[in-house]
Amino acid sequence: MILNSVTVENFRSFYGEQTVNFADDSTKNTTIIYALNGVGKTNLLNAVLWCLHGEFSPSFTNHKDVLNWEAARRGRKSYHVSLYLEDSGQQYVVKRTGGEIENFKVFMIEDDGNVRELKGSPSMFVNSIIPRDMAGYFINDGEGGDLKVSQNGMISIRRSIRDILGFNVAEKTLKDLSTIKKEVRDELKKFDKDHELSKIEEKIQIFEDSISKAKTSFDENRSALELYEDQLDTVEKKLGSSSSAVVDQLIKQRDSAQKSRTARATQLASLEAQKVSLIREYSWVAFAQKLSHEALDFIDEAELKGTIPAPFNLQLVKDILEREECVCGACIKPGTPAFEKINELTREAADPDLLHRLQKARSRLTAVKTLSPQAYDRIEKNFKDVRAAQDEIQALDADLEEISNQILQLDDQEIRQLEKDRSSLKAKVRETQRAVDRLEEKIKSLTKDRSTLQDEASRIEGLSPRARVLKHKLNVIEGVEAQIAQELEEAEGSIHAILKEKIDSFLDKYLRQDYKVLITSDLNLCLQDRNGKAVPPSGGQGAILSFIYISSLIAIARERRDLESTILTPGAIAPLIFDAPFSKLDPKYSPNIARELPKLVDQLIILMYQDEGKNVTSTFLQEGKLGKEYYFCEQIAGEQGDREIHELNFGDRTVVVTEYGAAIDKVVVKEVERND
Amino acid sequence: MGYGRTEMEQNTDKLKKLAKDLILIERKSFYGSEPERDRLAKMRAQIDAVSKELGNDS
Repeated sequence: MILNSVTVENFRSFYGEQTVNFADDSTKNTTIIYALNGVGKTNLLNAVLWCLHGEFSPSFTNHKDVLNWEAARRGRKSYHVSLYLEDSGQQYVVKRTGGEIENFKVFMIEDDGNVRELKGSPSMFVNSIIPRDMAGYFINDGEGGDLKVSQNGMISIRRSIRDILGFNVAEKTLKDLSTIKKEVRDELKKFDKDHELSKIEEKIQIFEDSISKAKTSFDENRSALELYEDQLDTVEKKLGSSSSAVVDQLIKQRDSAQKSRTARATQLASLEAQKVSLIREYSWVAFAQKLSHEALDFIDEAELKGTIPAPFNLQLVKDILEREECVCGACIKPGTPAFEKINELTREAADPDLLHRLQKARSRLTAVKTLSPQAYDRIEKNFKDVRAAQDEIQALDADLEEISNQILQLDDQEIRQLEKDRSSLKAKVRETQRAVDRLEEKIKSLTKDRSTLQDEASRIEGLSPRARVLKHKLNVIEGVEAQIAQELEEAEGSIHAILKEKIDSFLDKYLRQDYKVLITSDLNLCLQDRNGKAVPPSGGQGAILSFIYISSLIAIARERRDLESTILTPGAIAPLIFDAPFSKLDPKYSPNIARELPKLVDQLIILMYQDEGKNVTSTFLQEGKLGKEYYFCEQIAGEQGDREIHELNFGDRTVVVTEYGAAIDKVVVKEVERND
Repeated sequence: MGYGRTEMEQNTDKLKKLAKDLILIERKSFYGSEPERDRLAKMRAQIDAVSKELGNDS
């Protein structure tokens, strides 16, 4: 989108109609509007934002008091803003009226110059060009309202990133689905007679809430961990670069002890794993050892061995005796010697199945007897190794503590402080790492339990027809939730690397090597100086971070303009309108930023008081980017008295921006005419 | 998820379409082209329809 012009009428400080024609040339794409503080810069920016979306920026207060005071005094009831804009080669006019009459329309300017009202929703049209949840980043009041500083001094940009990635509609859908799901669960209670399913669904709901809380806590802790690790790294580097030979020696000793400790800790972890596997392998041997001794003495399969050679078929012998006839045809009648002999033999003969089972039992028991000493040796060796590794780690910890104490006693205040910081950070890293591990386990376990409950719910039989329908509906909602959540997760997961690349590129362009930006995995960032020290996100450095952050968001929105997603809202290409962006910025960095900003967007509109030696205007001029310049002249009805007359200089021309003795109070927009 | 895996796989396309339709309802309300109060009723109706369709299929 390119803004051609804005016309405001009776909007706050603007009485009657005032128009600004923006520079819409692709090369000379920058417009500067100069105005004293309190004269109307923020009003003009808000006129654009309000015309597009009916919303105001955070610094614009008294939303109900928009009608110009003089216009109201003269009986006017409404205020208007018209925006002439171009999108994808087509011209449009967006008109919004507020006050007594409220109206919002979009018109298309046809090739023959005729104006035709756009069919369909004007809101949808405007939002398709610049979504309202992204507009605040393009039309920026410079207050840094979105820079939310968290407890650990970092700036959370997760919300902004989600806005730019087009998450809002999907997130709202998930929220609504959760409401609908709750309604379905409530209804289910009525139709689930024995409450079996509704009780499970209730539990699932509790698990879902717990998972969500645990995930939030996990993200916070992981972010804090990344910050502490980064700070620890910086402190250790500083200690390592000390010019003192004593410190150098102690740090080398510590590095060596630390390396040994890390190696032993790895070995200990492996021995502990081996212990678990040995116990798994031999625990049955330990339990069966006594039993094996007693049972082997007891079991004597020789007793079962009879005179009929095994294997034999007992049933066959029984059949022969019953039929009274042998397989060879001989008669075997009861009472005959043959009958008595066979009968006698079967009584003493071994049952081959029983014999086989006993032999198997004996073999297992013999294995226990054989494995026992082996198990004992291996387990004892493992226990011994574990103890040795633990002792060694303990000794190394004592060495490390001793080295730390020696550093803390050195006659160097800075080194002592660094060592204290290091100890404190080490403790924080340990503590936070434990919390991260614990939460990770908790999430895994909760997710597993929820899944078990879901399986349990899906297996319930004998539901009433209505309960079955409701259960099915819950499944459908959960399926849709999973589809949406997956796309959001994938989009956010891929943005870290993209953001890092953008931020590094803007850092390089704006500041060269003076600062670095740390971005944690959950999208918290902080500006650090060359020594890795976090810079408080206020004042001049805050302004730097703000430029980097806004530039990165806009670059990402631009790249996502043609995103083909059914879930996420596509990005936008729109003018960047900045209110007083350079006011807090160190003059050292202003020219660099003034050089780069016009390259970032198709159109740049800057509202500022005056250059104040920051070489912003001159840079735009040198780079051939300055297309239009305006200033706001404040016309005041009263006499000047002892009040100051403010002037602005444009090359060799000077203009007055406060005129006294006017007919009425009003702000007049005037275009700058330069001779140079 | 309450679905059996195979059933889920079979119905993924229908769920994807439902997700798209629900997002569209939300988008119209979020960006002000349709009244916000109607959106939940419309979403419920879409879910009911797909739920019925999937119920008949299975």
